[in-house]
Amino acid sequence: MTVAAQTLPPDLLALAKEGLAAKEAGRYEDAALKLEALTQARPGFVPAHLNLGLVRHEQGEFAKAAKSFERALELSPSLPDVRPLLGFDLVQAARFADAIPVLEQARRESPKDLSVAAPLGLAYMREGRLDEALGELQRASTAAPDDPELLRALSELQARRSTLLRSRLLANAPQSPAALHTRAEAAVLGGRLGDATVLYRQTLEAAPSRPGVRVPLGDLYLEAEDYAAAEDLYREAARREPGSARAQERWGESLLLLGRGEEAIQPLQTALRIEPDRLSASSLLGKALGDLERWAEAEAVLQALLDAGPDSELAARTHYQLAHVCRKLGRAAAARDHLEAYERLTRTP
Amino acid sequence: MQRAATVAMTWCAAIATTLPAVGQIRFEDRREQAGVDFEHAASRTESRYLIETMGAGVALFDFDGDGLLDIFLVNGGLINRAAHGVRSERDEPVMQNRLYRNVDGHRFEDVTGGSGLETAPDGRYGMGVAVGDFDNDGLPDLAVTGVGAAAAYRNLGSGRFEREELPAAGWGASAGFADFDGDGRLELLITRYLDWDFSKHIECLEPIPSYCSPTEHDSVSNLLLQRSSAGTWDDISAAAGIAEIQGKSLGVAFNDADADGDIDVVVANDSEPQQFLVNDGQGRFVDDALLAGLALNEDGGRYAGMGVDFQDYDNDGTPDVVITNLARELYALYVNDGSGVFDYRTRPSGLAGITARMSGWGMLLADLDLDGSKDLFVAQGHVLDTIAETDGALVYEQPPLLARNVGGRFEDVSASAGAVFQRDASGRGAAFGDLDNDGDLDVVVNILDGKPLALFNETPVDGRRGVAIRLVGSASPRDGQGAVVTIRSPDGMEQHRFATTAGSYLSASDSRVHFGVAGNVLEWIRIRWPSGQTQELRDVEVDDVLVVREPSSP
Repeated sequence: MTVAAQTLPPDLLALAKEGLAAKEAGRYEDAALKLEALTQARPGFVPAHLNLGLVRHEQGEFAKAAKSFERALELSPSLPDVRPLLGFDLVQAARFADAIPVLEQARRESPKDLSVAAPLGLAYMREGRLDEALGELQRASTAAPDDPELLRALSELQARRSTLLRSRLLANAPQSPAALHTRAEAAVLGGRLGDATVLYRQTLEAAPSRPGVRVPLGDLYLEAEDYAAAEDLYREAARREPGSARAQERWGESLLLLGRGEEAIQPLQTALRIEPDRLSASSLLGKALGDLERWAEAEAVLQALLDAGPDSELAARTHYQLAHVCRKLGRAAAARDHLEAYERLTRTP
Repeated sequence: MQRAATVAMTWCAAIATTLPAVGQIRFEDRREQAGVDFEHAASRTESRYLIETMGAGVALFDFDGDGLLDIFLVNGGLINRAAHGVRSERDEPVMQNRLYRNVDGHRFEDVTGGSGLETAPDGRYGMGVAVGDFDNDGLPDLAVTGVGAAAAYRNLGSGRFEREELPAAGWGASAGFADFDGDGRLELLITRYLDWDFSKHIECLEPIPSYCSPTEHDSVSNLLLQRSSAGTWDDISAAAGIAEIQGKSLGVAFNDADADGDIDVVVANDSEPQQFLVNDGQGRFVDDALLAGLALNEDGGRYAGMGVDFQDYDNDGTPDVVITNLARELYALYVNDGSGVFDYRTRPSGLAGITARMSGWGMLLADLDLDGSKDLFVAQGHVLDTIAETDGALVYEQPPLLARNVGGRFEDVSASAGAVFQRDASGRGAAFGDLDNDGDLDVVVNILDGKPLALFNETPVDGRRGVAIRLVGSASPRDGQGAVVTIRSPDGMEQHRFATTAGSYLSASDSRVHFGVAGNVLEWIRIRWPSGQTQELRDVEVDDVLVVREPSSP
């Protein structure tokens, strides 16, 4: 404000200096009062509006800051570096439609300035311009990939895009397998398991070869304790999608629940070939081997599971299973050790 | 405990020796024709006191010695909230227990009046019943449990019973008589559910008003009572090691798990580990359930154990355990491998697929189609009357379950076993016995807040027949409870059964030992009496009822 301040009379010059000093000292209330008085005394004095905007911005009074920056730009449209700040404050003040042209112009003025991308992306998103929003937010994330606010914005954007795409799908082809599949998944998320079962069934009737339907439908039958129906679905899923470890494991689990341990071994082993770290499949394989009294093999599988560092719940269960296996192998001391480990892990604090 | 040097027969090999049945099991509910007009009164309230949903027991016993099984049904009681504090009352006839005399195997008459059994026990809300000849006079006596009190009833003959006080405070549930210390006299084991009375009631309102989980209340210990020659009862729980074992006990069953000649105990616990009380031969117990593999399910999880039976389901000579529980928990089958270890075989036996949505109470492992394999009957119904509102896959009332044992695997045959298996009800206590002496086992189920089921077994026998062995002890308890009976038929099949009226839930079954056999002659019958004597009868001609007396001296 030094050059422009030369045109001020002494009393206003003193007021400007006091305002700036307060701003520099972080006494924003005092600074705002003085700069406000200055703008009233000299409404055309651009530096006063500019500095008042900066003070309001620091105070978190984004709506007021935006007004000051807007006034400064009205008086001096070529002011440099103001538009990114104004754009940011307009977004914070929820004036998204106003923010967009400001930030777009800032982008044109400084194409390499990535600080514009995040507020512009947010403004686009709030205005429903989701594709443009995605471009800006992705651009912003190249500079700050782990920024929490950016991650949250991207997550919200994806959810909005998902909702929009789902609405378009349901409106354009409501009886298509894709739409039925989508509605089934939404019903599961909403806890409407009966509806979900019907919709998954309808999906399969419309497209018997559609992947990704039989396993979640089988899960619904398993949840309803209808093991035979679940096994039918998992078996067919495992046949059609042989690369799915989940389908293989679920098939093995349903066979176990039906008391068909010998048949369960092959799909469980297949699941582990596809995903060797699938500990839930190891646990089930241990049970299947135990059903067949193949205790030594069961011990090897369960011990490997423990060595892989499962969570405490699975570890407790595995220790309990291993205690039984060791008893069957005649190793009472080892059985006691596993029971003690089980009790340690399950003890209520 | 002495671990027996039992032949370690594998589970798979043992079951391969059983024969498939050829007939279809069928039961018919003839309660109305039989004249059993009892109706259980739970007296449900909006407060949902836990006692309202637990039901009551039933006993089948021949109180008058005419060779026909009579029926005793325990009632709940009136929950009176208008008086000073909440209490239960039994003064009204509709709240009382009922004794029905079996007239001719098909018709029954109410002989409660004047029997002395009307208001047992002490006006308290009724629960369970046990049967045993505790004074060794040849007449079966009773013990009746309730919430806050229990009483013994000595059978005086002529249809009259004399009450004897029991030192049994707390919520008594199932009970059973057995000679645990080998002195030839029966002791009484009473399970206690949890630390509850009306003053400790908790209102459970979330997510909807419902009966509270037992986890809201403290555990308690069970009771072991011994009758003196003077006719008084002493609490010997502490000396027996029972007092230090805590749980939330409902069902109880007995057998000699390790073939060491004494009687061991399995106790079904609700939400706590199951108990396996191993007898040291002197009537002192330690809970070996965790080490034996009986305490939990295969994942180390607890469940709501309610009914229990402890019999040899796979005919390998070692007793196995079935425990009923709530839906989504799977009825637990533990198979005894003869070395002190029990294998959890719920899934391999087929029980998982059959029982995942079932909630079971009174039950029995017994040969219902006379094919030599023990089948499974379960009285069912969920404990929560609001369960359908919180779990869409489950229902409150359920028909009973009938699962046939085919080579060690259970098959649900309920759909073809009669109309009663299609009728929803809240089954609780269940007792088993041959009501019409036609050789097969019938069932009586006490229905919560309803009329009981009197299920007569109408299974076509196809050349097989049933035999009931009535034991008469001399050095052993007079009613032979605690004997292990093994039979061998000419086809080489051996079957084993432990003589007991205990097991199931809150109930007492026929004291006679039942078997299904092919042909008219048994190669032999072997009895190991509780006194330690063994007795063998060879080439025994099969009759509907065989009476076997323990030799007076070894």
